[in-house]
Amino acid sequence: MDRLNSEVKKEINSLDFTTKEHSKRCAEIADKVASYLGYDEKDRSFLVNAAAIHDVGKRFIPEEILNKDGPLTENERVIINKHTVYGYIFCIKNEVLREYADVARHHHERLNGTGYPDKLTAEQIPEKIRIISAIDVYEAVTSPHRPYRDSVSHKEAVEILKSNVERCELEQKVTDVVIKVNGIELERKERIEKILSVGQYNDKFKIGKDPNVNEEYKRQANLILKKGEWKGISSDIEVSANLLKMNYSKHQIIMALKQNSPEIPGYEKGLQLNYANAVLKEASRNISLSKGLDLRR
Amino acid sequence: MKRSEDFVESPEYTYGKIKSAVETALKLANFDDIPPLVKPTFSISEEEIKLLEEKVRQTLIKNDNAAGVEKSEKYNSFLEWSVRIGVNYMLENEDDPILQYYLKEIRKREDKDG
Repeated sequence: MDRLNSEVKKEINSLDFTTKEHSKRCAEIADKVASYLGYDEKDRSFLVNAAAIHDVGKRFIPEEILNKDGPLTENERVIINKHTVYGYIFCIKNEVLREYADVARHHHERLNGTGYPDKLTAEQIPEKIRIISAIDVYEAVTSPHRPYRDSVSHKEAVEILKSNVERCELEQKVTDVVIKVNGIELERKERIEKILSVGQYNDKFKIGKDPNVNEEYKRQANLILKKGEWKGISSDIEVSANLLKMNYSKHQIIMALKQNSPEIPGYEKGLQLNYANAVLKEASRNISLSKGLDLRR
Repeated sequence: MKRSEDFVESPEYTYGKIKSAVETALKLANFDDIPPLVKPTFSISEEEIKLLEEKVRQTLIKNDNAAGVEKSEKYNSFLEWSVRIGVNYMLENEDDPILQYYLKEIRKREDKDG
């Protein structure tokens, strides 16, 4: 069970926003935002690269200040804030990176003019920079931060971003999109966690032998049904494939799927096992296909 | 409720961003043409400029190493290009706080060495 739990944590972390390579997360979110906003390939590519490169100026900040474990002095804060200008200089001096120079310089500007380094106001900040700013704030508050090295939840991050919008720092439209695309990812994570909770419970207490345990199992199953409505077969296939990769038994997955499937429109009771088996078969096939693709790389 | 500016980035977060930025820059661009050193707009000796260059180089190396940036032949020219870009900016901006930070260290050391 301990091994299983560590595998579960690994899987959850892979969906989480607290990984080491945060700019990759920034780029991934930027890609989803671009897609959501219907950007063409050129604009989408720009936004993804800009999200990845916007903090390049931090390389120039003395390590002892960049990495200081404690409150910064005023001068140290001024030095850290210079990363925007160094990022700009770095990009503007390179023919290819020149197009990202303004993003590097202005991603800490705020609509109400309280940002840095140039205290720009709303009309002076282009949409793509506003998007990078919103992604950057979301990433900053959901990352492991000092002093607790803990991250806030998506829900708390949403509240913080909304307060930024209320203070006229971030733009409502782009902030809403950033929240939405992250929310979709979070739903996926929560769904896996819910199904896992039933699967683990099954494994631990051997359903059917103890009436009290049966009641608890029903309670947990109901919790899933009430909180999470059926998201479609493709979602179930994806979740099942992840569980298979984590070495969950087919029995455990079928039990979880069965409990989670009565809400399927037009689906009669008793056919849940058929549905669960079909989903599991497709999940296995997807895993085999992805392994095949990996081999061809 | 906490405000976004209340959150102090962890080193993992900061260096994760640096790694991704460097990898993206290396993927997109070339850094073979290193610009010449500019003429300083304020009084600074050649020896101090060399020490300044070394300070900037060491900062970049430390940060890139901490970020886990992979070293390659392209990285070497990228590093030297970055050093020159940073130093040139400093030599044209006497008030730059990073320049002042390094100069303070350099001059403190010079005083100590007599």
